Amino acid sequence: MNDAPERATTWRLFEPSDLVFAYDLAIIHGPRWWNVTRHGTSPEATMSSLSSYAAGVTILHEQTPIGIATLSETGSAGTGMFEVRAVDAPALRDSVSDLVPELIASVFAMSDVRILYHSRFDGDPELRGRSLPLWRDEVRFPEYAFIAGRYEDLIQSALRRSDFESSNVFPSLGNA
Amino acid sequence: MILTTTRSVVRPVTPRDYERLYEIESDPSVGSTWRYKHGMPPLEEYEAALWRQTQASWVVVGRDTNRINGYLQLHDVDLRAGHGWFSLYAAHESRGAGFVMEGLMAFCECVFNEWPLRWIYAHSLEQNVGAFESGIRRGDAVRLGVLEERMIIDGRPSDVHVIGISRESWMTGELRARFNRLRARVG
Repeated sequence: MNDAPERATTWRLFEPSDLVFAYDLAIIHGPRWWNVTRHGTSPEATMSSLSSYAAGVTILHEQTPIGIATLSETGSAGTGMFEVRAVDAPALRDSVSDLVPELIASVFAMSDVRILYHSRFDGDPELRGRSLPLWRDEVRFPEYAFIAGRYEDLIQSALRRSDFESSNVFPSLGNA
Repeated sequence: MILTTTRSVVRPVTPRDYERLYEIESDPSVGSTWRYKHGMPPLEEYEAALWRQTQASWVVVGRDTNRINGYLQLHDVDLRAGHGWFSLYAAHESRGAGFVMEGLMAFCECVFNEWPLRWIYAHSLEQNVGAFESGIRRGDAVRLGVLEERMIIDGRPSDVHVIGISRESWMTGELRARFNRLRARVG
């Protein structure tokens, strides 16, 4: 018998039935989810972009989807692009960011990725949670895209496996 | 757009150029790029590979030899955001002779006159970034950052520099003015 309380926020691998939720999320984000919506938000274009991700998980709060995390652009160089998106509600966004270190640990545990990259616009909500101090900003594209009435910079950050594994910030996550 | 400089003619790529471009790209010292994830494609598949995600390409032809010394590509253009990426390739025997940088200036002139782009970006491997350093020092180009150990080259991690050239810096810069003055002399 397991007396551990069930967590309110959990994740599972992305399922085809999650596509509708992902589409809704893309519509809410608009250009902030540049990789998915830069060609517009027609269902066909959006679904096609969403289907191109190598792997993804759906983040659930009390069994209701509240966010998506994806891994893409994986290749022989041992790198990958990590993205995370959440519904537009501050409390649920916090629930998503609380889970992100665990998701990152899973990526490193289940793949041979050396470096994870993450891109965000200046005005994006910060969703990397407790993993944030481990990321290094490496490239800044000035005025990259037009969002909410002005051009915003895009910042590309990197998280190295070695930094993650040697971190004492999340000692319990190394074995995730 | 075709531009003539003191030493080169910079013109759009045609299918008649493919064999020479293939020869340039097949050079092992050029091969260490991330253009082809699975290695150089066979010649019969080259056209599709060459133009994948690519909107325009120009060759740099030596006026004295009529031989292609290198070529430049505009790719992954995002008209909504107003930016694109560029790649440049130099024939082994042409490197260090300035043909490619001359070609890059002609390329900037072509791109910023024909495409409504605000920025063009390039990835440059650590071993190639020296070609951009003087432009960065002069302010004609900007190093937007360095992706440390981004690539594995010959089994070793290698940094990738991200270089940016803005429309504003090119169109208003002294480099462009000097480039076009020299071109005007060529006639």
